[in-house]
Amino acid sequence: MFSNILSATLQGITGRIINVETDMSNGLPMFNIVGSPGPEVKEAKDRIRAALKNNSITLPASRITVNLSPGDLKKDGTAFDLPMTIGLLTAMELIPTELTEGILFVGELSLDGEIRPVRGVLPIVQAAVANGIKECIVPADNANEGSIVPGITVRGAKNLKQVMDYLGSGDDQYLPSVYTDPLSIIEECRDTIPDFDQVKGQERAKRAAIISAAGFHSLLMTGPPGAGKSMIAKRIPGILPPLTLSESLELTTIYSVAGQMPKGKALITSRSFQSPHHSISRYALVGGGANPRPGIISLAHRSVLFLDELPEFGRDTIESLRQPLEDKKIQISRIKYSVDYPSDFLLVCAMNPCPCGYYPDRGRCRCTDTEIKHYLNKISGPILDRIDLCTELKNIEINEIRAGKGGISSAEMTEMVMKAREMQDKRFKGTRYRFNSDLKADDMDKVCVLGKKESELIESMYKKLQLSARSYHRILRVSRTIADLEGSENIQSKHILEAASFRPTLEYFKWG
Amino acid sequence: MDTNDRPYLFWLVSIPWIGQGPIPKILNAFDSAKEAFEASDEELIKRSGSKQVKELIKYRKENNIFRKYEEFLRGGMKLSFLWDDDYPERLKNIPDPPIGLFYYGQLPENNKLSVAIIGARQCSPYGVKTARELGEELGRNDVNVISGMAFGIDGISQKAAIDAGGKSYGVLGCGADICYPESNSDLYEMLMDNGGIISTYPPGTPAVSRYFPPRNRIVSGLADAIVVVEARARSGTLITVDMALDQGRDIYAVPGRIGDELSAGCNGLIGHGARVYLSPSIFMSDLMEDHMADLEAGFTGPKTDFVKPAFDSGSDKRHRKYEGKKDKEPDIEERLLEIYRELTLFPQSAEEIDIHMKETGKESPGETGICLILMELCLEGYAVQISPGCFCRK
Repeated sequence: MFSNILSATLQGITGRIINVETDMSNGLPMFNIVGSPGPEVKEAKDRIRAALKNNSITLPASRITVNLSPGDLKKDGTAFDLPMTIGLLTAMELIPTELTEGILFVGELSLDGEIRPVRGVLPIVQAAVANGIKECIVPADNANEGSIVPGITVRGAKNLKQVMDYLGSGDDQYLPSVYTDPLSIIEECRDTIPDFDQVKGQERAKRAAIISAAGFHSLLMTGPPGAGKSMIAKRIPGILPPLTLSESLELTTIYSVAGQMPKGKALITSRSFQSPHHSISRYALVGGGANPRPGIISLAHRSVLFLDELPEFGRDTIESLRQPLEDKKIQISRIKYSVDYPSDFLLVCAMNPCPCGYYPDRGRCRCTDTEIKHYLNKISGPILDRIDLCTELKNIEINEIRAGKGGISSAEMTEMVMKAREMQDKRFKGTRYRFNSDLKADDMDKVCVLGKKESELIESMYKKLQLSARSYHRILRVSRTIADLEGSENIQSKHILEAASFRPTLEYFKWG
Repeated sequence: MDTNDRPYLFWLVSIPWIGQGPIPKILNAFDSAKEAFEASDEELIKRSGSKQVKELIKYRKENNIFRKYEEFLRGGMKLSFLWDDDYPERLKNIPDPPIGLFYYGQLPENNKLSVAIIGARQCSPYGVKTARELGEELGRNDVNVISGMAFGIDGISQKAAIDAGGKSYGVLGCGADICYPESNSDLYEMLMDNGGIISTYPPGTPAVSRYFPPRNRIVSGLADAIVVVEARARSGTLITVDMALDQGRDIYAVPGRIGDELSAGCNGLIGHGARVYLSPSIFMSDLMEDHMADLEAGFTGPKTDFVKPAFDSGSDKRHRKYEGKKDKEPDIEERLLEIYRELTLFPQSAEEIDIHMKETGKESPGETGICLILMELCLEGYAVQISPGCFCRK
């Protein structure tokens, strides 16, 4: 009259094993769920009762207690429907106890006993492997994402009957196990990402995109409406190196936890392009909620986060990006616990230089200095400080549009980026860094060695361009990437000059 | 006039919205302002024949003008009437001169040349540079610069003049105690010490758009010549020019490229016969030539201690051909010079320079190459990066 079934819940982006204990004893007929269940978990009893009835099983009129252990961990979601049902069936002795031992169950039930998908199957299966569990039964729709984890048998169930047949007979054919070799599907499909050769002109912005992708430098594009800022941003994921398996798993985990896995997909294999509208709330952007879920910045992990019309975003929203930009993860704290979501994204922003968008073309722009200042003031200094590259797009001439010459293609650009990445991989092996953009000031001198001429150049730059210490380091970081793009071990004057021409500062706008 | 009359005169000039109109009528109809003040309502209306007098009647009923005048005196602002000694001679000669001038600092001296520099508030780097150069030249030569203390051309030229050691006078469209625009507060302070802040409106008058056009005639009235630096085809600056023409002032316009909206007004003026501003020095010599004699002959101001500007009028150079003061090319490497020659005072991107060089059959070092050279030029001080992608000459 007692059973214990394995299941799991999510904590942040990791799975946590939960024991679902069911006891059935004499007394007043009732159905109690204990062990800090959230509202969705409490509702399970009605779904279970109906699902069982529609499979011709009636719950006995006895006192039923289901305990979710550990009891102090808050549980939410609908993944406990299936394990609780199996627990009941075992306690009713319809399924022999020994057959359910060592099997982890997750899944939501419909009233007629269908098993519906749940969030976070990949991290749950990973947690199962880590806890020595040999078998998992998950919803059929989630089976693909669980199937890539080696060292465990994963079975996808469509309905309750299949599970009961399988458990009753122990016969594989009722519920075949699935396994996919992740290496066989990691091959990325880049067809969906538009190609840079469709962008005509704008050589400097493309150059900035290459540097940005090569060193993971955040990028700000300014320019009049329609110059092609979004067009360029959309193409940046296509020139980032393909995802590695571990990156892909990280990304899949986040998508799985956020409930954003495309149906039937086993793995997220391409870098995403997240472009939230500027009305987005800070919680939607960085993640949060009573039961925290990852936000857009985590979905943009290892990918591109594009903020179009940067000054239109709420100040709070933008400010909340400061920690994730610094730490590459976001910590969401609740009284009882806190969760970390990874958020190592490439920040790409676009904005108009003034309310009308045409400054510094005074023939068209009639914004007053005050209006321009007011507009630019919407962008906080601390965020601007975290942007490494700034470039301006101009409207291109009609003959350039018609000429049809697109220039450099995404494939060529990727090649350049890969070369620079290899240099960085070699350089940062065994250090805390991955990219030049991560470089902290204290390690800068070791990595960015300057000759005499170059030191003089940057010194005069420091004085004449009135750089701050921060922008000085920023120029060094970017020039390191530019040197890497050329395969040059040493930073040369031209690299520094180019980096300086991309330096972001709003002081430009204060002439006159 | 009798000094005891001043509080009553103060009463006449203390209502900004009735304008200039009724004041001369009243002064003609009565022997003094005091008499007008003491006259009954009916008599005042009848004898002055002006409807706006009602406002004055209302004002004297509602306010104690003696207390108002005392408060004003305590405020440190000065007030000069048309017949006072310090009232600028030039203004006396314009049609319908203002009866009272409120000011801080001082009023423009009669024995010094003064030039009004006016232009667009939202100006281009070309306008900025021209206004600054002219302001400096005038400041150095001790010529007063008159302007409206507005954003853009006005403020830039006035600052430049004071920085160069000259004096400048700002004519406001609001009370002289109100710094408008607020962000020009540094200039406001500078003007207090190096010139003056002048207004025909009583203290406390807010900055309202309809008060601004009338002040333009004071700007032009105080000047011997007007230089229009940048103006659109339909621009408030052109109102000032109309007033200046009525007052018989010389108009100079800074030419611009055709097609540049900001120069359309100026080029139009030239088309209508305005004089062409070519360079600070040529302008200076023209100015000396035209006005020195007038100054010495025409004005009632003290002639003996007339201050001759430090500038050498150079009348022998007067008829030189226009050589445009050929821009001296900087002493830099040839590869830098090539790009420097492409730069103008108008913002250009590396891409535009690249295209232009190719179009004119020159060898272009490519966009990235141009950018590197532009950065070098910036460091050398010959170029300036005015936005993330645009450069122009410094």
